[in-house]
Amino acid sequence: METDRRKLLSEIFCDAVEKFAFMFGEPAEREDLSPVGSGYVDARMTFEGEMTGDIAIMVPDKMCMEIAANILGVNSDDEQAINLAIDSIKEVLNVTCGQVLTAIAGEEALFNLSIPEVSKLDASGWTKMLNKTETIGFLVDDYPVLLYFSLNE
Amino acid sequence: MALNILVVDDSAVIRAVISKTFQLAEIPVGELFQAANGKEALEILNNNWVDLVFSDINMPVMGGIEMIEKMCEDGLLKTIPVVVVSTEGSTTRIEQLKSKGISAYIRKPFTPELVRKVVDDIIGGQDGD
Repeated sequence: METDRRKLLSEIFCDAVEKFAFMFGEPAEREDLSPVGSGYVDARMTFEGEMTGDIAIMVPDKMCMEIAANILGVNSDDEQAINLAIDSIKEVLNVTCGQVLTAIAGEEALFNLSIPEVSKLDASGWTKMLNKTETIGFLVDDYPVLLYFSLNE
Repeated sequence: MALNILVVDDSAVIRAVISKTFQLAEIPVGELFQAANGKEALEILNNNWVDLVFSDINMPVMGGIEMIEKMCEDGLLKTIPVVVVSTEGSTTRIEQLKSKGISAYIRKPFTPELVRKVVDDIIGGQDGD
């Protein structure tokens, strides 16, 4: 992935988590993103239009509750935050995807977006995604986060 | 006057955020209805008095565009203002939606101030008719 595109994706993702989830992120080196727990969430969606591809965000499962809590303005152990944890990471992905596509393809480009889907990831799955060239790593409020963006050539 | 508002989004967290935004923006809400897709929304619209609809586009079962098209086919439902709330920023999509008669388009993430302005514009416009 070109340096310019990685920089653009990084800026957009950090802006999205700050504005939508009130969390602060910055790009991180791979050695700072080793698996820290056993459970991760992988949210992904595809897009079709002037470009076709897929985008995904991977986070530790505990972080999803914190995202939900921040969005809703409640404590992370609040029942509403626990219930809406998965929905929250899907929406962070949705917002990031919308912003990325406009930034790359321009404001007139039209895309069909899939509904975000979520699956569980274990530590080996996390490491596999971390090692992909299309993946960018971040620390968001000290949580390791991976953003994957791939275009079908 | 309190408004009966229908929020249509497959994301429960977004429905919760929009509901909370109405409080923060001090929008007077009478009854707040929620639907997870266009099909559920049409059922609510056919059985309740709704003043304003806030809807996502990209939803399973029935998306926002199909829901708006169905509303346009109904003499009464087509008079209800629809505000589309979406992550998409395509001006082509926004023009497409405006040609179908939507009242406003809000891109996520949004602020209470923006939501307040959109509602004021819609309700003010209706009062002036």
